[in-house]
Amino acid sequence: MIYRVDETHPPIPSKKPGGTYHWQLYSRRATLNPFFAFRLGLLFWDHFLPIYRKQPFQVCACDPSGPPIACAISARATQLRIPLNVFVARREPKSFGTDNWFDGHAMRSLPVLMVDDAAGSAPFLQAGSIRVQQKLGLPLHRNYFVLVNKVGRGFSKEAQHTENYLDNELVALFTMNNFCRSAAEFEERYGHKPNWTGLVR
Amino acid sequence: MATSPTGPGWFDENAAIEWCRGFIDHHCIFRSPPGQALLTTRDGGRELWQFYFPIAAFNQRFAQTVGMLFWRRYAKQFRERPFQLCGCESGGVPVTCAIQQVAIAYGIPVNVFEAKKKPKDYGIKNWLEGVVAKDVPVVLVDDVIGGQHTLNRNAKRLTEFGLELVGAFAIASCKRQPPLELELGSRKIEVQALLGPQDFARTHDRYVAKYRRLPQFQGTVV
Repeated sequence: MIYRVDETHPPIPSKKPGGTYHWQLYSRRATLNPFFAFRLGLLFWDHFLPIYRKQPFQVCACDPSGPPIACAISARATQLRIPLNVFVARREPKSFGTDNWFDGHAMRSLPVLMVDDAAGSAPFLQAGSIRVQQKLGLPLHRNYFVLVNKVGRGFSKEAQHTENYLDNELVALFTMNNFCRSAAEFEERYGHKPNWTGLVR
Repeated sequence: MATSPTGPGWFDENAAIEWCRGFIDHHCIFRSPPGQALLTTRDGGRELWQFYFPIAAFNQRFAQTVGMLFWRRYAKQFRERPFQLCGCESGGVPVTCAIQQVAIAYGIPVNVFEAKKKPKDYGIKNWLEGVVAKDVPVVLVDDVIGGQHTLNRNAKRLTEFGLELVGAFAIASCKRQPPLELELGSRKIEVQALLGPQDFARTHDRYVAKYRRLPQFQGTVV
């Protein structure tokens, strides 16, 4: 799920005009994969089932990367016979209809576990959690859940942004130390070049 | 679940569709009260009713039921020639995930990707999210079909990207009665929708007349 610059993959434009990225996470390459999603759901409940049994919670997925993760969690919950409510925090309100900030149904009685693909410099998870508190008046769960906490070797302190999530405990399956960010690092670790597969359009 | 989504067993397809219909009719349609058009349209107009499918798509029983209903229709086609699913942003994504997760629970892996409304404006500037297999046919999935613009637009785009479209699926068509078709040049693609507009009491008055009670929209509106 990582785009890495090498001889056939050029640097890509960053969010900042004129800037470039040498690697980028594309989490939905993983979370829309059937095997990954299945295991992701199991890993989530492996960690959270004892916590859920003490205090049930609902899940709020941050649009647009969170919903596939929430679906994986919900599907395994169904299999494990765990009742779970899921709703979505949008990045911006819908521009028609009820102009809603949230999709789905938020229950009034349960704390909200925020779910996203990554905790990093972009404050989407934080913004979503603030809207859950401000607009819905719901308490947050004591954890956030993400696939990747974008911290690790080589990140500047400013880029780590862990202070955004200090109000709760961030639970992440991975940090960037688990991955090879450069093509050279990948080749050294796995003995072959990165294989960025599939049609990219 | 005791049986496979494709095999014989206790799963009653008609009862499952009726349960989904009832869930949507009772929980997923915002109806403006009489004399008040509280909803806005994309072009600045007013609307009396609107479907909000995420309420259903993120409901555990609904998601599982729709997944089972999908595979009752498409399992034979998948066995003969495996396909991948493309969910239309944003409503189609949880539906494709539900279909995928029902299948993987029985050991049937089906790849999913997402067609975005607009390309990312940085990075690889992609229209599609997920790993897209170039040579595997595609079934396009959305939650609800209105004027069919989203399906038509995505079908055309996927075809331009060199992908072969072999079907389209939605939970409901809210304006046009199925059967529906996509026209791709000279080709016609079948669009399967579980439910049509006549299955729902879309306005407040019709709901009250049908069920003898006030509608209770379940969505979170803030």
